[in-house]
Amino acid sequence: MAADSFQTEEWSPLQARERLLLALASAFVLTNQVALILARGRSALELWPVLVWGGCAAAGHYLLNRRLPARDPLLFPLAMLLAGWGLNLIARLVPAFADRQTLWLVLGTGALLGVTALPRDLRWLRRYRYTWLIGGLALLFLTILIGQNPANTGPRLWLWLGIGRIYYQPSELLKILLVVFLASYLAEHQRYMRQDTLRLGPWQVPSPTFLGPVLLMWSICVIVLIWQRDLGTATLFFVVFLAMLYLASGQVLLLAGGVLLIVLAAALAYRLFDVVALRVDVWWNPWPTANAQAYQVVQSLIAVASGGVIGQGIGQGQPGIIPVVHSDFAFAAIAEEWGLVGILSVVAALAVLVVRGMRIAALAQHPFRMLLAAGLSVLLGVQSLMIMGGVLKLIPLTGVTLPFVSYGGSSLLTNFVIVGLLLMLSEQSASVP
Amino acid sequence: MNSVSTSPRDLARITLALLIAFGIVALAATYWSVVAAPDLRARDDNARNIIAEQRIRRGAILDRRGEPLAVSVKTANRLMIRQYPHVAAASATGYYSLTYGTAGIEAAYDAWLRGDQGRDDLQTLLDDLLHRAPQGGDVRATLDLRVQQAVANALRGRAGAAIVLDVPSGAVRALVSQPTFDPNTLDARWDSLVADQRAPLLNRVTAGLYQPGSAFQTVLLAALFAAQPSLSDRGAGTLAQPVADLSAPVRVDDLTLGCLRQPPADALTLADAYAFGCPAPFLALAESLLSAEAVRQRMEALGLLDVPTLAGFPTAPAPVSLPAVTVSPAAQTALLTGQGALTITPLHLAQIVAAIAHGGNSVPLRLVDAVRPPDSRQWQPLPDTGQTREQAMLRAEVAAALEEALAYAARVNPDTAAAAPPGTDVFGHSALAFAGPQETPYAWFYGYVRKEGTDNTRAIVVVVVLENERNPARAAQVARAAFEAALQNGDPPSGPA
Repeated sequence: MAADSFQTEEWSPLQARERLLLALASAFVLTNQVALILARGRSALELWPVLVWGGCAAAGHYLLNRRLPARDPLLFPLAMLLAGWGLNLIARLVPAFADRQTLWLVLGTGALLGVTALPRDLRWLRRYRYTWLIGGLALLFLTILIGQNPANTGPRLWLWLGIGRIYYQPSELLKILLVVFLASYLAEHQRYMRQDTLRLGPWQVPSPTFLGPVLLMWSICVIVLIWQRDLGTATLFFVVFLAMLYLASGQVLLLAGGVLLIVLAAALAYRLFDVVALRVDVWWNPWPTANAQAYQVVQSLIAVASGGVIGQGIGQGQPGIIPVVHSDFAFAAIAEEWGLVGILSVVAALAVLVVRGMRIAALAQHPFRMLLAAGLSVLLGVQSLMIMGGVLKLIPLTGVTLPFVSYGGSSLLTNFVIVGLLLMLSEQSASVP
Repeated sequence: MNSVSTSPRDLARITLALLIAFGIVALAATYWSVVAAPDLRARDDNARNIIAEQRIRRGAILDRRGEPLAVSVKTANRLMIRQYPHVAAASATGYYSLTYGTAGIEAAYDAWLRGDQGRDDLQTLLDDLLHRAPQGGDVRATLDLRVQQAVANALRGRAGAAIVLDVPSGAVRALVSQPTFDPNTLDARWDSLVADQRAPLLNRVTAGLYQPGSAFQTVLLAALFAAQPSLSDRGAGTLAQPVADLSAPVRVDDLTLGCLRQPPADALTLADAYAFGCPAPFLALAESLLSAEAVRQRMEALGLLDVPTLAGFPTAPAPVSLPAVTVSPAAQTALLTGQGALTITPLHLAQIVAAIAHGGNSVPLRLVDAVRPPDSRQWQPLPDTGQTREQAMLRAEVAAALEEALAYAARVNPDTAAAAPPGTDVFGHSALAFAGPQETPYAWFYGYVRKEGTDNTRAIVVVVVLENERNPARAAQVARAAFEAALQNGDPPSGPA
């Protein structure tokens, strides 16, 4: 069967499974919203974000059936479940933002479907890697010059590019473009990386010519770090890059060297930037400054503790005590109102999403597709781990969002595009025998 | 198409690393929400505890007629605030503050008022699960708001204390301590209340430690009566015995003690000495007839060496326990004149007077007599605290003899007689004490009136102490206002529903 042939079978087992999962997700998201309205005595009109969400799920499922009939059946339902849960959470925490988040959900679903409407061989991504990368970087530097923060405060001044009333963070797009670029670059040079090696004692090391891209990436990350004072995004970029480099080269030594560079950069950042030093200190011992610098972190841990095993129930806890809970501490808010059961579900959903992505990589027939699927999955996974680990005081807190769940349109849109690309890749892996 | 040269092993390794990281996150989540949760939830900076406290629909405190003394009112943001409609009752109701805790009835019945007590476990669990605001039960005080207000008004802002009791029920009808505080504005004014030299937060009735002064003559009189083999004459023999040097001054350190007022020329007996509060005859009799041990035993029997109890109400720490026999003559003189190491609260005296009025049997005092579970209309009477059988504080004959002495005192001393409402007979005694290096005078009145048309066991007992007051008649006037209010507002027309 040709890859592009139209799928006529309406009820393939994969599609039926996706439909079932979407129905379960709908039941969960709808129940949450109804419970919220009852618990807080809100108007029944507040059901509408969930109805729009249901429309997105149904339209997505229907259109994906036509475009990608043999796609992975777990990716879309998991993404929709988390996004719907996030919508419940925004409606509960900051009702004023629920409309905007719903709009972003529609845009995100549209972007996902838009990506899947593009040629399925993804040559358009692979061939023009420098165009994409330079375009992304140009956008980034443009916002450094003329960007603004919609709140007019905070350190993210340069990250926002205002178009009308909608704001977009180009660094979110840059995440995808970097993965695309690296997948393309490494896929092309992979053979040489594996053959052109030097002996260094007992280890095989790739030739120094391949250190070029490593150092290039590292310097991009350092620039991001300096401009944004954000250890999080920089670390995220670099970890994803290292994972992809390792997958391409198979060299553990590169991984070790990369980790060394991260530690070095972190130590340097700790010395140079007060913001970074503060975050690390607060992580190491938040208790003495629980009323000052560590207030947010300590309050978020108290929120997690207040949730206990089964949680307080939506609308019945006090997560609003944590400052800016809806973006950085969505995970803690879920912990308080859905309990340990809730956060373990989120962890499981994200872990399954990542594993499915890695499975797509494993089944891929081309190094570019393998590296792209693996890179995007690692990107999702590491970002999730960083924010969850930060909230749970495993690592210093970083300002990255919890994928699909946190408030923020740019992040939601980006994650939907990632899922769209993974769905495309899964179709290819599935349809080739 | 290029063949894939990446080994699946590398992909599996990365996947495994990510899964291990997810597993660690899951373990950390379990740690914070289960293992470390109790400590975190109990932290002072967990605002949820305060919010939970503010959601409690705390029970009301009512006076004996059902007049609200403390109620919880729901504010616009679904939280409760505590209101006290009658500031005059603050000494009894106490206060309830999120920041500064509780006092008075609010403290004594806190568990009941906040609903920790009186609800079954299943209901509590269900309320927790459904986030229903906990509801506490109501508490009915024995206090009579009208008497309370009358006494507070009679004190006219003077520093002092007064307690009004019903005998034999032991019900406290009024408990006034001044200066006092407004429990409605406690949080805002806390710092100035604590810093105030006049100690408005001190409950002078239950915890104010005063010199007994010439009130100690009642203790000595009880000891003298108790030493008699027979008192069939209601102590007349002892009271009528003539005394020499009735108004001779007594020196205690640099203090010179005399009679409260000059006795008339024909006053010659011990009864006169008692009525006019003259210290010299008591000192002479005590030193010749009573051993130091006998005095100590009498003090113990009258409860002066114990902390008086008022049904869970916080009371003063135990007064100084005195050495059995060996005290210096100077210290013994100071003790016998009520100017020594012994200090007492008005509650101590109230217990003694109540026992005299009750034929020598001690009267357990209570400030709360019934509780009502949430959503119930039925009051549950509280059992008497501990003592179901009345214990004798005094022999019946000693009590009768003391009553004679009190009746005589109230008859002959116009300062004491000032306590008598028109047409009633008062059994009372006035006393003066001096405290501190400034020798600040305190005026005492303590006594009772029989309720009309009843047998000789029912009475209204009043104890008043006025600080910085040299004229005992002022204390008696406050007592008169208390007697009048209590007699007018006897039993309510019918028992509350």
